[in-house]
Amino acid sequence: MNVPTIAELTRFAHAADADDVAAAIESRGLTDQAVLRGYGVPTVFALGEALLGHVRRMRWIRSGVGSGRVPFLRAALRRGLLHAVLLASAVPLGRAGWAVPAGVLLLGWLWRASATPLPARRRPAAMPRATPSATPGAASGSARRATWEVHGASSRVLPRISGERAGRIAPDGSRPTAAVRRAGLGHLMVGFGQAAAFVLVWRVAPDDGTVPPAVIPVLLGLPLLEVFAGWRAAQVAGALDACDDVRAYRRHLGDVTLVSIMGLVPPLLVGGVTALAACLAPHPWSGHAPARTLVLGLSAGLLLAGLHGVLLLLASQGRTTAAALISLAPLLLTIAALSPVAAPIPGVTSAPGVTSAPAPGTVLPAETAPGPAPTAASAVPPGVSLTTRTVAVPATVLIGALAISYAAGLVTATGRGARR
Amino acid sequence: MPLPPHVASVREVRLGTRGPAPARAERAAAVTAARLLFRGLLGDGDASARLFADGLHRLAALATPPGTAPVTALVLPGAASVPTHPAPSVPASARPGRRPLQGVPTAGALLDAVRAARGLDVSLPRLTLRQARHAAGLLERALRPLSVAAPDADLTHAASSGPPLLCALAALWRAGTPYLLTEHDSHLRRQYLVPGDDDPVRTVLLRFHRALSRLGYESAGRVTTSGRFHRRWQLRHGADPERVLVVPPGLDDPGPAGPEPDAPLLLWRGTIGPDAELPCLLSAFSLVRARVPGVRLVVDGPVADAGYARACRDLGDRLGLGGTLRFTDDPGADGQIVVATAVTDGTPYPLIRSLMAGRPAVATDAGTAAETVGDGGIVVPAGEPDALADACTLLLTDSDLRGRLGLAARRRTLARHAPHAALTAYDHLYRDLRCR
Repeated sequence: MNVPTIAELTRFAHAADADDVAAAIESRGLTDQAVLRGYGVPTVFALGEALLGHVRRMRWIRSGVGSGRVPFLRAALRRGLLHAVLLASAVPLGRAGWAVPAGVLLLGWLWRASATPLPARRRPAAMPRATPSATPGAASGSARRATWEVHGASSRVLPRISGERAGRIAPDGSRPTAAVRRAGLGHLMVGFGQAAAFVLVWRVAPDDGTVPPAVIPVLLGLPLLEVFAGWRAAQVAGALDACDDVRAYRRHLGDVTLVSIMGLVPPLLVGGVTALAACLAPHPWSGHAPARTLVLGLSAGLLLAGLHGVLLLLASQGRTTAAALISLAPLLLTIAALSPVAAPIPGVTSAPGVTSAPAPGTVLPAETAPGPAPTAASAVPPGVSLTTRTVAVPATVLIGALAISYAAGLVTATGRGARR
Repeated sequence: MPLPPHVASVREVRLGTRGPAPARAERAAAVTAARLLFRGLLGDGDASARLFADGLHRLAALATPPGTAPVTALVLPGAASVPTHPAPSVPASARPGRRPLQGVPTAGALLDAVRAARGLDVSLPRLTLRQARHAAGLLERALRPLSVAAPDADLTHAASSGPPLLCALAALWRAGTPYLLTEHDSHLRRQYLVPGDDDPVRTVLLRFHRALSRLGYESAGRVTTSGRFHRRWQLRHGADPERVLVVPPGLDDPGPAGPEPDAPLLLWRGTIGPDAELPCLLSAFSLVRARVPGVRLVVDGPVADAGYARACRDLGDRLGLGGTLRFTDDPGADGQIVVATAVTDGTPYPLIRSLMAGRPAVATDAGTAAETVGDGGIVVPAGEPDALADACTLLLTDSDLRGRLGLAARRRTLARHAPHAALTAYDHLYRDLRCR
């Protein structure tokens, strides 16, 4: 006779009902006749009921439920440090260094996209394996396949680097749903917007081959923001595991969002106020170009880092479309402000950007001066030739665009959908 | 797979497509239906069963495909003589309706239902919001077959209590099409045997399957199963004994087996996996070896679990079975007697084929083995190697008894599992249901 082991008795304590126990007993080869002979009960079902009642009285078996703590700090710190190391690696790279941190930002959001439930381990059945032709449909299929491959690789490799769990697999294991595709695309757009804003901020200072001061808040802020994002995710996950009431969960989530926003307001205030002070300070100080550049650079960097936190918050709320729009807003606002149809911005004077090796079409921010606009000839140092037409961006315009985007992101994060 | 000539058409339905967002009124109706469904599935009594049926009925109405008629599913063998009119062709554009629970915040409704059930002393584990979301998502997927658009028919034959039953219930409610429910094995029991990592989620899903099975038994015109073993489960969950019929599966006659092997030889046939209970067999065989000189054992079948197969080989070595034990996967393998030790609850087709060929069996009393063997062999309690060894020894050493049991086995299985018997049974059932 097959006697249930302690492990099975423990499992019986968590059985759904008596039939669950009966099925387990039957699967051991016990029949009604056998239980009648061995246990004196007429059927397997009767034995299941008796066993369940008995085991549920053994409270020691029912203990051992997990603590429900969600570890987040280690992974968040690791991810933040990885960001910081990669960003800091831009320092020895000199003039071309902006590309490294910008790429890190882009890849960082691609990394986050890998955490969305795309099917990472199986090729979609509809994916054509043949060589793509030149038709638009084939091009679309090729793009989809490439996106899928990049996503699959990132979802496997990047989490391993940071010690996190791999991306979730779609329930049906086939192709990503439209919502998942939108989310993935949204993450990539956020990454692109952040990278573009970073390039603009990097160029706030004169390009003298050193790392500009604007990078310092970003370098310091990203690890902290990763911890912040990890803390928030842990709070949400903990609430999901702790609450058995939707209203209580929403209350908790509202509190977490409030705390998150309270933590994100100071960078906006500090960045805005210092930038304003740099522009409005008495002439002897504000007229000191290096000091003003330093302050404006730090303000821009602080705002960019804070904006990164706002975008993390929006993405964690599942509002990737809003995050993508807000991420792209600094770039779009800057372009709009500099377009010919835009009204002149009072107190801002643009100067032509000067670089010895500019990328064609790059938007370069330049230092602003409240005085008359320098001519192109006077702005060009001796020995430097203007080889490419570039558009200069005043730092104050960029800071304004960042501040507007930041504020809009905070408002969006507190609005409808914040309790998700 | 080629279709039998009497199958008019086969249509594949994708249930994963998402329709347009429901209107506010439809969404409110779906929320109400979901609440009823959840309250009903978690409870135990008749009132809960009514709530479940009401909720499911409302969801079926909400998921009705636009402009389509109800369903048929006459695809089982035996349907050839039934259609007296041309089978209706299904328009290629017939698409499923929208998902029954699309856009419904089901997690909250499920949590409310769990709290209400616990308040009524229903034994349920605590469900967290994460678990509720997971369970609600699984339930949403499970209910999608309600939206299947079905062609017009006189009868629906649901081949299981899972998704086919939901299609059949929808057709019954939309067009009054009666249905025949066939469970080759108990769908509910199979769900109970599926392990789950998350006990509360598993409990909710099992309650759903239980409630659905009960409703299916209650609403079916007839219920059939492959053996008395599974019938017990159906009766336990509310099936009317008068309406439950055992229809053993039909198998083609392989013809009588050739002459017996000269040397005493035991044949075990099946799938080599944890359900095979091979340790019991090997222990019994080591006892038989001491009593029957020259006896050998052939374990024949595909390997489903390589680790298990390796462990069994190691056990054979430890028991000193050596060259008397052989593992193979040869459909032509034969033995003087067939041994069946598996504890699976499915239909034991290898055992039936051996019995049909006229080989007597020694089987352990598990699942449908006893009713399959009948008077064609010896049935011993499961998990008792001594009893198994005694029965094997008896048959190996008594050729007259072997011969008598072999003849009885062939006669009985030919009568019980003849294809025409199953066809006739379903023919009568179809006619009976059509006449109602």
